[in-house]
Amino acid sequence: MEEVDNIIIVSLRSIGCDIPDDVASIKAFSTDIVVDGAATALATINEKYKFPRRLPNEMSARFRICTNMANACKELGYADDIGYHQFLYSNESEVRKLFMWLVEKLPRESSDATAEPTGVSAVLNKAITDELEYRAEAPWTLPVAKRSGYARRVATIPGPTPKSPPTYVPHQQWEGLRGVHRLHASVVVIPAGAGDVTKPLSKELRKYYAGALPYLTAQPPVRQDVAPSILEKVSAEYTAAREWEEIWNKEGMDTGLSEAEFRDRKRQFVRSKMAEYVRSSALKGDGAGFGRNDADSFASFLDSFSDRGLRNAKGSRFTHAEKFQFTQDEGAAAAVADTEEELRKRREEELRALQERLDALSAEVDRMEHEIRNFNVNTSQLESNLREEKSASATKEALYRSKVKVFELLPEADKNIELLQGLVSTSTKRLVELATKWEAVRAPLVLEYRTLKESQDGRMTESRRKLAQIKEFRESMKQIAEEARIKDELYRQLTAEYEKMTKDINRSIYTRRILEIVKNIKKQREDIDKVLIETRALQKEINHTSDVLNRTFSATDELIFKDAKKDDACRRAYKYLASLHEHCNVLIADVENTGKLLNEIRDFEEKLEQLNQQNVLPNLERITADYIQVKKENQALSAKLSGRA
Amino acid sequence: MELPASVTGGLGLLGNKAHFATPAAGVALTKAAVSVLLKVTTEAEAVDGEAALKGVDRATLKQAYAALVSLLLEAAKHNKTEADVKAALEDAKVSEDRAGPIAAVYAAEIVELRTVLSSTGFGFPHVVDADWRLDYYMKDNQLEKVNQPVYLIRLKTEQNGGKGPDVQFSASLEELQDLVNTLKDASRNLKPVSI
Repeated sequence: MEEVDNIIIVSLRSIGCDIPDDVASIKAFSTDIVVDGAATALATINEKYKFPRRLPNEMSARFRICTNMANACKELGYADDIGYHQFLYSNESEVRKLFMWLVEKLPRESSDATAEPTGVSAVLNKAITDELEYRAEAPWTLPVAKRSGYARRVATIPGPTPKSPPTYVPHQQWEGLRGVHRLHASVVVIPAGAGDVTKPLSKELRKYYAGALPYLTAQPPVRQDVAPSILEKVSAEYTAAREWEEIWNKEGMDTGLSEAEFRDRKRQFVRSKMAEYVRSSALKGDGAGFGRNDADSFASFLDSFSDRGLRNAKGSRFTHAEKFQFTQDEGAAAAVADTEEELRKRREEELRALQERLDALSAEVDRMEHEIRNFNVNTSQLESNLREEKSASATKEALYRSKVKVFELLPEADKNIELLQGLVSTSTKRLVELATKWEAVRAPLVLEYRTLKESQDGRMTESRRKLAQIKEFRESMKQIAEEARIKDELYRQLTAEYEKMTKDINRSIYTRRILEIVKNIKKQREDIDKVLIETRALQKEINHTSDVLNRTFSATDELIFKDAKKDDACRRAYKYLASLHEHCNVLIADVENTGKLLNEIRDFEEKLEQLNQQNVLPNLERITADYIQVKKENQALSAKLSGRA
Repeated sequence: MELPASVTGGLGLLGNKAHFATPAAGVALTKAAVSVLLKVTTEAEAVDGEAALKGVDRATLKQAYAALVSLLLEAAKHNKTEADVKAALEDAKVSEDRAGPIAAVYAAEIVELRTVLSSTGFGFPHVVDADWRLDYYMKDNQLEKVNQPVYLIRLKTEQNGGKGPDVQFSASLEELQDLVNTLKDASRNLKPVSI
């Protein structure tokens, strides 16, 4: 019974009854709790049953309320007898029965909660149907009643339990386009680094931030551009940071430079590439600077930096302006020519004359250039001839000098040859000496060089290994972060689901109890079956025995009756037998009677216990006390009446 | 919600006692940011006139303000809950006792903030009103006797930021009934979906 009591108490608490914490079973229910619980449960079942949750002091009022509550229960279909005494003079089993019935009658919000769909798509579907339902019921708002296209309403969301008040959520609905404008973002500056201790802001920048820079929301010239501008800026910054991180991870890490250095190098590379392009196009150009084509090809050149090709096809605003300017100029010139015929003629003549002169001059220039080229060719030829001659004369001079020396030495040939040989030998000796010395010096140097080279190689491989490690770590870091994010999301979803599910807290209690009951019933059925079998067996045995008895008796009876006519002793024996049989029958009847009586006694004992449970005596005392109070109240009322009369 | 380093850095200032001495200053700044975004006040009134923000370094104040505005808009854009905003603030090293009240200010104003954001966009012309007239069409140049009733319908529309072009069409009684039935069918179809 404790399980039932627990469920009843939990259910009553969940609909808002104030049951003290120390009340653990229905046995401990006081009249106040019974009335409170019944009144709350009735109000929850149907709102038309509204009874005070506290009983008044007057006896007659109490009586009336309790009778009304009993009637309400009857109306709802309570099968057993019910009256005011169930509430006022309660006994445990009746109260339990009443509350079990009431709890069963309570509206099933928990079953709705369990039917709540889970999963992303189901939640989305639910949201769609909810919104449609809300909109289907929401009234239409006149265009004039809307503030810049917004209908403002309050959506009512019922509370978690029928007792708790509903929450009101302001609900704005976009209707119409009066207050809507197209996306336009302007450049904004988000100040950064003002509070950075490690890398303090430069003085000028700080001054700019503190003084001239307007607040972020005041930066866009049009107020309605504030939100899009800021959102654009934030996402642009975030994307740039992400892009840079990717480049750094892909390319920068392998260079072995620090991040700042790599950034500098990249910037220099881009600058030099741009400068190169500008220079080459300036050389190639016809003096007009960047023409239309140049601008276009510059755009395509910029494309070569990024493989995304964001700038293709569209062209920049600059190029559009350029185009516009050029076409306008041409048109203007044509207009002037059309209006002034003469001027045009004169100009044409002039132009022709000038053209002729130009042609002549350019022919002259061409001729001159040709001559210059010829002269240049001649000069270079002559120069090369000169060089050849000079080198020839130098070799000849050297030959001449050696020959002169040989002629000088010729008169004392032998002596001079010896001298020369001695000189040669000494010089070879010296050479060998020097070679050995050099070897001595060289060996340790080579050794040192080798060791240094090795260590250098080792360091290189080490650094490469470390780089690979760093890369791995980053990879794993990213993976872990991703996992954490996914798990976080899952956690959030699960918590949301869990929150939805906590409404039916006593569900597990119910199931456990049901399972237990089923188990008990099974056991009891088995027991009953056993007892039945035993009873049947006993019955059979009894029948069998009584049959045997009957047969034996009749057989004996016949046997003795036959002899009884002849023998006196036999006749006596027959008489004894008859009396024995009779007495035995009486004995059996007595035994049966005893069994019946015992059963009856047990029944009576049970009844007695029930009566004892109904605590008649204290209730009787209470009833008499209440009776006396009613009498007193009546007397007081009649006294009042007579006093007024 | 993805925030760049400049924004998280600015949010971090709110958690720094050296810059914002009390949690109330952060809340006051958030309220100021919200009221400016909702076009209730100007920065000069809301930020410069706020007593709790007196004595904060101007550059720091501007950075924190910019970061808060970015956070509020970004969170409203993604329809983040109070807990999400609180988590974002805590990620930016703002302590829990400071992040909580700021997130609460956001939660109180999320509907209004989302209204501001949804005022950027475009849409088809929106029907605001309809005029009708029933004509009796007696004859024309080719036919002497026509004698038919004709409805003349004019739909008034509005477009981005104001009045749009009127749509005018004529219809016979049957055509109009067909149109009305088609539209009724459309609105009736809402019922089975919403249950």
